[in-house]
Amino acid sequence: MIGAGQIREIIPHRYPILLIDRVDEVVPGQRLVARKAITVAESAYRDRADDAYPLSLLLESWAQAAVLLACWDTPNPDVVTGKVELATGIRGVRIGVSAVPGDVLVHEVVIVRALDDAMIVSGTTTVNGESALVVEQFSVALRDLSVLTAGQPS
Amino acid sequence: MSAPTRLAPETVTIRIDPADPVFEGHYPGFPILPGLFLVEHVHQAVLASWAGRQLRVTALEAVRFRKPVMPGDVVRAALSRTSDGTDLVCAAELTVKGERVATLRLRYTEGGPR
Repeated sequence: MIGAGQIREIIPHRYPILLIDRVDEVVPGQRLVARKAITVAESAYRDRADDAYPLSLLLESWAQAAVLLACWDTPNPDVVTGKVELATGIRGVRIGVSAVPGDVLVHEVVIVRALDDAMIVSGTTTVNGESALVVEQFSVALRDLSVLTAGQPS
Repeated sequence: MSAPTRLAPETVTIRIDPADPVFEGHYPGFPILPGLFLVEHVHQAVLASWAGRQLRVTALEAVRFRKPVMPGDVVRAALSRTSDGTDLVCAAELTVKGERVATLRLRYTEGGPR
């Protein structure tokens, strides 16, 4: 089992948007299973009337599992000195049951194709054994910070 | 199932608040908006424009992220919606200062949450 401390050594996401609590299984270069527990203490619920976990956070949490797998062998804990992971595209996401506070999201991610600085990942999220998310194709690229800051006021 | 109907297009403005705490953690020293947050903004705009109807999102058919969105950016989202009687499909083109930053397509069905 890999907990939050080790997760922070692999990906650059930090509070309040580090949305993976633990990694249960990993086969580097192939697949990973991770989980995230949802609590009403999260800032998303501060003014939210609806109990359903926001779609953006559900997708972001799954995507962080994908990035964890993509970066497993070449950790990228700091974008300032390393690279920035950028989602470049997603296709074929089916949205199922809603998750609510008290639920645990179980994410499974599988590498479909790995290129030099990009990866295509597919996978699922389940909640209490029911499908919350099926992702056919998620593409993520690693870019140098300099590419992104070109033309931006510093 | 009735023939597809094209509904009036709509443009919404999304201001990316630099004070949003998300930027503290995404990422330290280099704040950029998680691209998937754009999906949420479009989703909320669709729900708001269909107030009174019980819409449930069933699919995110495609998203293409072209440029990162930074704190303080003002995103214009041009929504084009098609209804076939049961499903509503919303395609959105998102621009910042006239430059395309993302395109996406969401699918909804009538009915309460599952």
